Amino acid sequence: MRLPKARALIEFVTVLPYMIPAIALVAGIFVIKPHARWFLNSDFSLIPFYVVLSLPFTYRSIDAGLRAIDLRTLVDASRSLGAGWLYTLRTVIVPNLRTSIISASFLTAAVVVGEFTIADTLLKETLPRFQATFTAREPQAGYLLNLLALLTTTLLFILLSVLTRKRDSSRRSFAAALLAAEKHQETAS
Amino acid sequence: MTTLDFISVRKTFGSNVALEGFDLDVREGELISLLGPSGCGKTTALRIAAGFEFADSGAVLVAGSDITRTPAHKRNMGMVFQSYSLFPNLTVANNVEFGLRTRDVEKGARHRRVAEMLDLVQLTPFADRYPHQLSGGQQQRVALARALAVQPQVLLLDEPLSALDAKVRTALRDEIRRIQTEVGITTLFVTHDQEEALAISDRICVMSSGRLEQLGTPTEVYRQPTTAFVARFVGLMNELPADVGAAGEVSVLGHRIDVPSARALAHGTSAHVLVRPEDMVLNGDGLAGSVTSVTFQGAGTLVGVRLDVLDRLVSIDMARGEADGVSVGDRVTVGIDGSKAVIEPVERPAA
Repeated sequence: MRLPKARALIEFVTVLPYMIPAIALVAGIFVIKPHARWFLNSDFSLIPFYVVLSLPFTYRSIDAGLRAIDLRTLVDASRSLGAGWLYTLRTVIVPNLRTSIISASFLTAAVVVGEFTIADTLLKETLPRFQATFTAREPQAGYLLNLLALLTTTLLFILLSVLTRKRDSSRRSFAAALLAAEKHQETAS
Repeated sequence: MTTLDFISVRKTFGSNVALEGFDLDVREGELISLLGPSGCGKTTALRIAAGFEFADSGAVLVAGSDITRTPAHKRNMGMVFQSYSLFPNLTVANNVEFGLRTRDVEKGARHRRVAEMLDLVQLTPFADRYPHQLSGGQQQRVALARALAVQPQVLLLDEPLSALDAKVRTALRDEIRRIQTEVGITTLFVTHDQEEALAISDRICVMSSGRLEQLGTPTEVYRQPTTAFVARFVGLMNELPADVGAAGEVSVLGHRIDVPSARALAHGTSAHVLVRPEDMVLNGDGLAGSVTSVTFQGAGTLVGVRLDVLDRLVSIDMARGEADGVSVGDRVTVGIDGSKAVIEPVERPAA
């Protein structure tokens, strides 16, 4: 909003996780492994990777929301009416980006639930990894589990579209992101 | 109610000078328009008054106290923006209430004030609507109510009418003026529309490239422009080449007229003389030409004449009835009344 020139750069950076396969990201882990063993062993080590992976979705979604409203004028109006930054954030910015924030969180959840490569490399027992090992052990029950997982995400997306139906300002743009996420999900599982 | 003063305010954006030595005193309860082409610094001046931008040097005073460095939310200004400034997630009533909430006004008083404001802008039946359910004109009235609800010291209007269509624009323009006089609030009104400025201002501040060109009542600015820029920007002007003679006598294309404002110029100076369409007469003693257009404008008629000697079009404003019988192609002469004309010496390019 404040730095229009930075937009092109940010847009490029946010699609990088798309262009670089997860396995390349993971390869990087081995470079830093000797220095960050304590971190990679902790349960929180997946967070930075998932932040990077979900960046394209969260950025797109929130950017679309920002474009739909004239946030600059709204912030100016709020400030001239005596609201400080925190109050403006709470009563003006967040409520007007509600749709975008909800869809960004859902998309992130979908990405994370479908991610296998990084979790496998870091030896973290996430759902996709469990699905893989369980299917190997009990093929029939495993496929049922996979089907259930797929249904759950579908339900999540239906819930998302219901939640955001009332305000459809940024709906079209994240419908595209939604499709992309769905695809990502399929290739992962 | 209060005064607003700018004291030699300077503001630059990178290498671009937006305001330079800008002085302005807005008197108590007065409506001053900042008028100028885009990029003249009028919006910057308003944003500095609002606290969205800060002056590089100089000072801004409200009621005599220095607010140059006070952040926007600590000032007591009411601002109306060009468009779409209502909070889309709040109803009309809640929008108007917003500034009262930030000031921790007690609930009962808040509701009374909101009702009073909606009544002032005649939108009481719309209290529970959302902004997107209102027309552009209604939205701007809500924005006005919201700005006035907090009883600001100064009202700042940033081209509030420019996004509206012509009919709504004039109606809302008059309503803004009515409300402003009724509340008696000191107001700064930014516009690029001279007609708007002439219609509602107590005084007009004409600006160009970050400087004040002229400050005066609408009549003064229109009738006695002090610079050629003001003369050209406000209203229509006919521009003719002239040579300055002795004692205010000016020769326009060989035709001698009296221009009092030329007395200050040296004999023999080349100049442009700027004359209003209503200061020219058809079939007076003057320059020969032929009529190229006759535009009926209701109260008067604007006649376009192409001069023989110069191949230039001039416009002549004629009162109702006077232009009867004039038609395109007629041979006419154009007389010039130089008493109110503005004269601008031509700067010779350096040899």
